[in-house]
Amino acid sequence: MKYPKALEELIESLRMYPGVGKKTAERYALYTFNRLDEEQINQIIEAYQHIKSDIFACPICGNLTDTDPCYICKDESRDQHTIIVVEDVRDVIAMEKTNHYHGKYHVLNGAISPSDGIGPEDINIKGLLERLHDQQIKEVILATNLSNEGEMTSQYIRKLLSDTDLIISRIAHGLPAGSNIEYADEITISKALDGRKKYDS
Amino acid sequence: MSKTTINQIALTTFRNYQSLNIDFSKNTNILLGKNAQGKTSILEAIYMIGLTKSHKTTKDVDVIQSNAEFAKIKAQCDLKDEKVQLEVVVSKSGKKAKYNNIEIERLSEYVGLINVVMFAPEDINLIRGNPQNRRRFLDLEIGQMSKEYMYNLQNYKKVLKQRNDLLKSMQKNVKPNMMLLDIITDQLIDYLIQVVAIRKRFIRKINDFALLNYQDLSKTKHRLKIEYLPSIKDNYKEEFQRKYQYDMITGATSLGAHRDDVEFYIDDFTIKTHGSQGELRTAVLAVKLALVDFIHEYTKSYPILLLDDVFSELDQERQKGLFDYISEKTQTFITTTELDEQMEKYTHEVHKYVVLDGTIRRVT
Repeated sequence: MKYPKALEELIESLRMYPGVGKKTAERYALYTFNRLDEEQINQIIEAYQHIKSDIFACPICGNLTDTDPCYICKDESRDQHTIIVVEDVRDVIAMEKTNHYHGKYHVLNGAISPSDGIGPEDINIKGLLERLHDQQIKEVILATNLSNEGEMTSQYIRKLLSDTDLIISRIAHGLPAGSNIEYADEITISKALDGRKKYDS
Repeated sequence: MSKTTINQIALTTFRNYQSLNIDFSKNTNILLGKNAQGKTSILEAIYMIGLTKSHKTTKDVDVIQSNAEFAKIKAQCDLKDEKVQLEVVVSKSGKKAKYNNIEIERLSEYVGLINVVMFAPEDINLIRGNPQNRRRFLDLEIGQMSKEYMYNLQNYKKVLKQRNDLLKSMQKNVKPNMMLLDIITDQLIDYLIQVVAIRKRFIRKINDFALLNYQDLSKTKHRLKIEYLPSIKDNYKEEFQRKYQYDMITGATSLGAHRDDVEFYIDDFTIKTHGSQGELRTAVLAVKLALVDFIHEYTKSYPILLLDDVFSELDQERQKGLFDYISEKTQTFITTTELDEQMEKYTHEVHKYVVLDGTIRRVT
């Protein structure tokens, strides 16, 4: 027993997404037919149509944007001397939410991982080196994930920059804000101890 | 003195047990029966309630009775002077573990709640088998006790895979990226140092206990020695660098914790090559009992001890030594085909069960 062709096609299309299996796809497709009106469906279609035509990676920093360059690269009030290197565009959003950082970004679009066939030339390291060469950057903050791959990527960039005068730093491991030490796992506590900070007198 | 005990166990479609419900002594339980009646399956079930997997290197689903959908083990236990109910269910779609009827999402959080030490005839491979057996022993036993070890070992394995994949990709590359190999090697060394340090500490501790156990069991003054044999002594980075070319050709990492070994000696003779069958078995038993001591020191509670067919190759002197060790320290389960007159004397107070074709009956 099969669904009618149009429904079957929608199910198959939805299954292209990661984490969406047959059951979930069926549920979404039937929901679309039963519960969404024409206007809502048109809204979805329109959003899909714009996604590839209007959005592109900023040629400077790699962040997703609909303007060239992106609003962060364009903003002259931001600190032009500091750059944070992140793996993913989602990391830019997360950092921007803090409203704590006012410098620039560089999105690598991944991390080095030989097991996944991703080498240094497969992520946007070249673009970073060009920026560091051309622009007035003084400090590089390496904010790749605290995973083995993120660590490897940061170490790699650090070595590439070892002959420059740039200030290079790595984001810290630590306890989550507002947390109790007794509930933290052993590894987080050890890392937080290793990365402890001296009080300025 | 605290000890972990299983006071009652219930099995459903587990191996050749359709349905079983039985009480046990908090001290020694002897399971008597001919071969292939289901004695070892009881030990296997107890082992699984502790570790969620079989002591045999078989697949989990093998414990499910043919035609059944799942196998269930349910146990009433004393754990640090508290009564708890544990449950492990193996089905074709996976495993579930419950603690006091609450499902534990991550099995790693369940494993280690109750500690079990098992001695089975095939355990002589710990000494006589290949190095893999000994590393598996280290990883399993230390991993149960130390989250720090698990963390470092898991990351070591992940980075090792990255390094091996990098080495393989370098074979095809005319200009291999040596800087990346250097960075991954540094990362591997960071975890390697931790893994090896914890393993060495563990071996030292086990050696101290096993030395005494060996002398007690064998009633001799022979000295059992256990030594960790690292594939790199020190100067980690230099040793790795010396192997860069070789590793690139083979596409594998030739040094590290995954190549280390453990050697067992009696008075400076290696047991693997010079030991008799009796010495070999006694040494393995001494190590397993050392594990009992180690777990007790670490958790302040004695683990459950499972001895599968342990008497068959121990002489009477050693059998007596074993009973002296156990006495009432641990809850112990022993399988055997028969008890001779001599043994009857030591065991007149213990619970005895006869196992016959998937049924169990208490006899004394």
